[in-house]
Amino acid sequence: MKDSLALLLVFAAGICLGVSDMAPEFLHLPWLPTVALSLLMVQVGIGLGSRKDLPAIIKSLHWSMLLLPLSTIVGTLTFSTLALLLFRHESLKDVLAVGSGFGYYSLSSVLIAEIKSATAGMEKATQLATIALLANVTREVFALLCCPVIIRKGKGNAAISIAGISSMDVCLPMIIGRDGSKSQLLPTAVFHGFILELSVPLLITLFCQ
Amino acid sequence: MFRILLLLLIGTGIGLMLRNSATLVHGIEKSTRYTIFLLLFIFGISIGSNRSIIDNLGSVGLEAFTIAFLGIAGSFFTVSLFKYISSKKKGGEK
Repeated sequence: MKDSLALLLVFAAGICLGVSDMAPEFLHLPWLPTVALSLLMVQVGIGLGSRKDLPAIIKSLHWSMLLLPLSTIVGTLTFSTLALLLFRHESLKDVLAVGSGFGYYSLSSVLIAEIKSATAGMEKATQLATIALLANVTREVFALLCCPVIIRKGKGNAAISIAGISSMDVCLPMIIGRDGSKSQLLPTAVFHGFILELSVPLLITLFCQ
Repeated sequence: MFRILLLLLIGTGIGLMLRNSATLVHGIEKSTRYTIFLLLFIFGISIGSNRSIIDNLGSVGLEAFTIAFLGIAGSFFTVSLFKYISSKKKGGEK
């Protein structure tokens, strides 16, 4: 949570600098986001590959564990299309791209900004990326607030699914309980986050093309 | 798409090879965080210098909240549906 706050502050600082029109020229260089994003993707990969619990998670894998991340993806994307009823100016692909963040606001917004700007222009891309950032921050905050309640009701899988990506980091302590009383949910929660983390760049690239 | 997937795969490969280096694991956590900071900062600047977004922040926000809640509701609904179906199936087999 402390990290989310810091991220939002950095983001807000960027906005203020942009509004004030005082940003130094080099921060507007068109290749800068591309290079930074490529760096980020390699680092996300290294992070996934170097997880200490990776062998244990791979060992405990069963094809049926795929059902949970799959229902998160199907459920999120199906319901996201309903937003078209309210926001008729949006296109189906754009709404799906925003939904495909699954709470991973940092990665989803920069991916959308980067990929969409090539096809729809800078302005449309920035706008959609802002929606993605806000939507996915909301999802993470809501998940943080709701997870304990849903867990207490004994709906472990539903809590993992709502948490989206954060089931493997920010929300993990709540899912397995502070005292570790629900630690049997750990592999499912981490695997769920892992599959979603892989699916974010794939789905967003797919919907932004 | 392939560039991103390729970078992700290269990273995972490096991570697997160097997984026993504690400094790397710790360092990569930090550097990932700083890279995200940098990206969000640049992203914030491009939003801030974009008048049409700043002027429409209200409608953009409403759209974002709607999509977020729909996504959460969709996840909850689908998981509950799955659970219901699988418990029915198990009940039928008994």
